[in-house]
Amino acid sequence: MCVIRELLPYRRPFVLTLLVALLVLAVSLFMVRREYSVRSTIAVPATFADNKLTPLYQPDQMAKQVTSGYLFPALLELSQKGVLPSTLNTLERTKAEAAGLFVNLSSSVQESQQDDARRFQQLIVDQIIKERAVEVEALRKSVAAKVASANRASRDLVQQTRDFESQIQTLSASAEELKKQIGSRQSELTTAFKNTANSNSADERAVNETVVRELREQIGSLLVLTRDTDTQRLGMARALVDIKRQNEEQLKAAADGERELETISDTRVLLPPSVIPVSIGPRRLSLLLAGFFLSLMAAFGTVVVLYNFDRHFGSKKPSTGRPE
Amino acid sequence: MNGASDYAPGLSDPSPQGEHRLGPAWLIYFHAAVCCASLAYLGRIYGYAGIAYDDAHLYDAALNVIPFVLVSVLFTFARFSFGYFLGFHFYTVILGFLWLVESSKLGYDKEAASISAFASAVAFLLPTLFILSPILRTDVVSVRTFDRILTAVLVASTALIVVSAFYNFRLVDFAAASRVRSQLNEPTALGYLDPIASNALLPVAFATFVLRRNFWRAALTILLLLAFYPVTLSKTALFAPFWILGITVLSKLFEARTTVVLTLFLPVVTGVVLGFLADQDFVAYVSVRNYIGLVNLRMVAIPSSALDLYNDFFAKHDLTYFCQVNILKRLFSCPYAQPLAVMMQNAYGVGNLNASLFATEGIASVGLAGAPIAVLACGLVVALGNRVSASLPPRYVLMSGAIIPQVFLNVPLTISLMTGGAAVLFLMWLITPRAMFEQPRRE
Repeated sequence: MCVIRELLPYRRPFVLTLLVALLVLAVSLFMVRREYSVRSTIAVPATFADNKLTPLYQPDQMAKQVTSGYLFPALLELSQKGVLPSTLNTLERTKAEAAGLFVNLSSSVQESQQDDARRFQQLIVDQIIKERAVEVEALRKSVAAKVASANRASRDLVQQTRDFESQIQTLSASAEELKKQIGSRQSELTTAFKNTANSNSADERAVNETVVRELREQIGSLLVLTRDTDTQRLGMARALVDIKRQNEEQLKAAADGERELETISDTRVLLPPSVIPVSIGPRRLSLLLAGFFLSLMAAFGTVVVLYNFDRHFGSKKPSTGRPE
Repeated sequence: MNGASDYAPGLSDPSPQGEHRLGPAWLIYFHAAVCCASLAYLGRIYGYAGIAYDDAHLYDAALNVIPFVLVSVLFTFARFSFGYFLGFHFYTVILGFLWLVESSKLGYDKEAASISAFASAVAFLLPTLFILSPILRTDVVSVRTFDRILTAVLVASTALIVVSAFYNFRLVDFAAASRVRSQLNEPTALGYLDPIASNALLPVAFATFVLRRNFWRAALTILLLLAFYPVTLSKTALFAPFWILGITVLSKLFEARTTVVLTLFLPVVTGVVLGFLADQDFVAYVSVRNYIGLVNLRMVAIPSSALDLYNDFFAKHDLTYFCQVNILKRLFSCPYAQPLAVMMQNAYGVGNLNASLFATEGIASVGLAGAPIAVLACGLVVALGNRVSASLPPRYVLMSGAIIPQVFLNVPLTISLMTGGAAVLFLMWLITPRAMFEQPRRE
């Protein structure tokens, strides 16, 4: 409190500095020329893959390429067309920002520089589209080749399926025939057993027993043959399932490829270089407030300097701020 | 508040009238401007820890900072004290945070964080700048006893360095030291004793020797401080001797409060000038990179950036309610098993990031709303430092406490006090005999 009381005599220099500083800052603020924003928006090439829209180029990478690569040839071209160096300096500060699948270009320029800024951004946009178009076309061809390959593989697999199904049918028919033969042999065997049992002489019995043995051997051979046929048929059925699965995969790959082909989008211009009609001039009210704070600080700083000066070099009695 | 008569006469102040004048005003404004320029430059060069430079945020950052610069009025009115020294460092940290918060890409409530930081800074500065009454008005120990204590400090520090050298001794540059430091393996006791000796005891010894014109012993103290570097590999140990010498020279030339401002202003403005020269191709960037990285980034910007990260982390995770303090962690359940520094590394990949009392005792412990109250309590603890150092010569406080503000900026209050050496420093100030600095009166 004591110090503040001692500072009271300095109220005049305080107010004077405050007013002068505020006046200077306010005038400077109103003299700042209005700026306009020239903007354009590019959509990066994308495709629908894995059930989501995926960019073919990362937008943030493309944004970096704009500021580190595309910017300079465009500046050079404008320079050769006689655009003023001050405008080129302004355009060099053009920003590129990624937002989702888009890249936004924005240049803050003065009114007289709007046309140059539009031309400048158009040059960049054209260059990006030109370069990306070649790459997107190459990608399309690559995907189309994959689709064709998948379709060819699918056709081969379909043919294999048919062949296998036909072979399985043949094997099934063979198996049926073998079963019939086994049935017939077994009834003959039953008859042979009966004949053997009813044989009247040893010779007749021996003949019948021979028949029984032969029939048994035939039935055994037929059973082995049946088992082999079944095994072969089972193996073919399994292979058929595998071929069908492969075919489905190829069909899916072909369908995915076709869908990708349909959804591959080119680099598109969503917003051609345009001047945003609203001025982006400094936010004057908040800056005026900041200016007031700065003026307060300047006034306070001046009072502190005067006070300390008086304490150090002058009399201990504080200055009144008035000329003697 | 005390009158200037509480200061020991003679050696206390290079400018005897210093404390009768108001503190610096314009210098602090310049300092604030230079800090903002430094942060803008760093954001463009480094883009560190989620901070990215963006022209669009310059206005917002400036508008955020300007009202806070008005707080510097407190430094103009306040008398010099330890709290003034520490408070100015924290003022710079909060100023930096208010600048960075506008361009931070982290997603938390920036407006609430700014208001909380502003309020916390004021809550911290009021007690640390204006609680100055001494705790004791009589000397606790005699000058002779204190001399013996200082001799014991020198002997004990030498022994400590020798013992530490048995565990680690490596002569590497400070860039390599950061990588090697994590491999150091030393007993826990040394981990506590080394910083206490190098941050508190030796600076006290140095300050005493310088003010008593015992320059040989002062030089020996500086050598001992330097010898802590190969055994601890900490940047603080490497730069502590130079830092203390710098403060010694500045405090000889300027009044204490001006010295405080210059201790931060001069290093930062040098970095800004070097950066400007590098931008204009007058000097190669590689030759100034280490300086800017160490001073402008590590020393000044990182403590501000840590506030940004802590704000973001604790906007999305549970508060600690002080359970980061080991003793409390044993008594109460804590949502975090690991130290906060490790949590920050896991979340943001910025290395083990401890942060100041504003971030740890404030934001992490009680959140944005409670931070000003917690920080006020921390300010009252720091004010104890003012009270135990009251009536000591400002130059003595500056030199003996030279390292401690750097400790406070980077670790929480509890660690600063216990491990960083602040509590021992306060004790040393308490027992420092005031009679030691009295000059015989001229007839």
